[in-house]
Amino acid sequence: MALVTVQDYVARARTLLMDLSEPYRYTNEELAQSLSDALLEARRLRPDLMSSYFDAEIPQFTAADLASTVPIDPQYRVAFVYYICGQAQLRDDEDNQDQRASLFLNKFTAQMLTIQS
Amino acid sequence: MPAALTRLVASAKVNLPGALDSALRMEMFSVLTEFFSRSNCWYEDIAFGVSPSAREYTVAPISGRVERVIWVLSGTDSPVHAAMPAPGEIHLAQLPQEPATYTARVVLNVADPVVLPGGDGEGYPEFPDWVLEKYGNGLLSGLLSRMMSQIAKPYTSPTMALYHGRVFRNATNDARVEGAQQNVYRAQSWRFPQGPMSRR
Repeated sequence: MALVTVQDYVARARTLLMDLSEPYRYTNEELAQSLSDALLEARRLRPDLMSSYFDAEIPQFTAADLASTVPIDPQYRVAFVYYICGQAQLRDDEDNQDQRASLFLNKFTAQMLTIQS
Repeated sequence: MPAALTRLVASAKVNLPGALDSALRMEMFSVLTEFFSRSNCWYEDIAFGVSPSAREYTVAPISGRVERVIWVLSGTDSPVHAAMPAPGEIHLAQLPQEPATYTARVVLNVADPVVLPGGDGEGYPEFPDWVLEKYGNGLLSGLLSRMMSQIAKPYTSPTMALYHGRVFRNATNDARVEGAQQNVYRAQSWRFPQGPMSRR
């Protein structure tokens, strides 16, 4: 599945989060909001990724925008999936979830700034 | 996009993992601006009419923008004292004695706006194809140098940025010398005595 729309990102994140059966543990609204946060974080870390939004508002997605296209260069789309997963797991209290959250968020940052995959 | 430019961009992408097309286009404009400004290798002879009543004239190139004037010749091919206080504006030191057509050789540089065919974002600026064919490797190094000197990018490399910067400056110097010598091998030795040439 190509990462093009908000739905694609949400679905890919659900796979990594083991959240494939309804009722979902993480709602579409939460995951879409995490994707929006990732765009804001990308604007800070990699301004060149968001250069078309220097004079415009960065898109913010909700559960109503699942069909919307996410304006990200293909080279960095997987990193955004990791950010969504990291944000989702931050809300869990268990220690092992905290570690996974850190892992995902660090992976996002590393992929933004280094050649690391 | 010319084949040489396509090859240059492809080479840049190979050397710059994670680089975005938009960033390459933006930095390429800066590379070309510096290259043409320092080398003077892109120029155009522009004819313009003069009259005894005016000393100020405007010249406009076919493409690009005017960077500076190299010389102005009168209708009889005599050198004319002139200045260019602002790019494209020629001020003659003395009023012409009669209506005539003067010729100004002006150095050109890349110009805005440069938009993609669909109007979506910035494209590559227009400049002569021969420049890319002759100095493509030097321009590639200029692009790599600028990209690698950016901070906090997957392709950041201060060491390689310095190296490619040197290669680019060498290519720029070569272009400046070869442009001044009109691409004639050992042109300097053919110009003796050089007094009349240097007065031009």
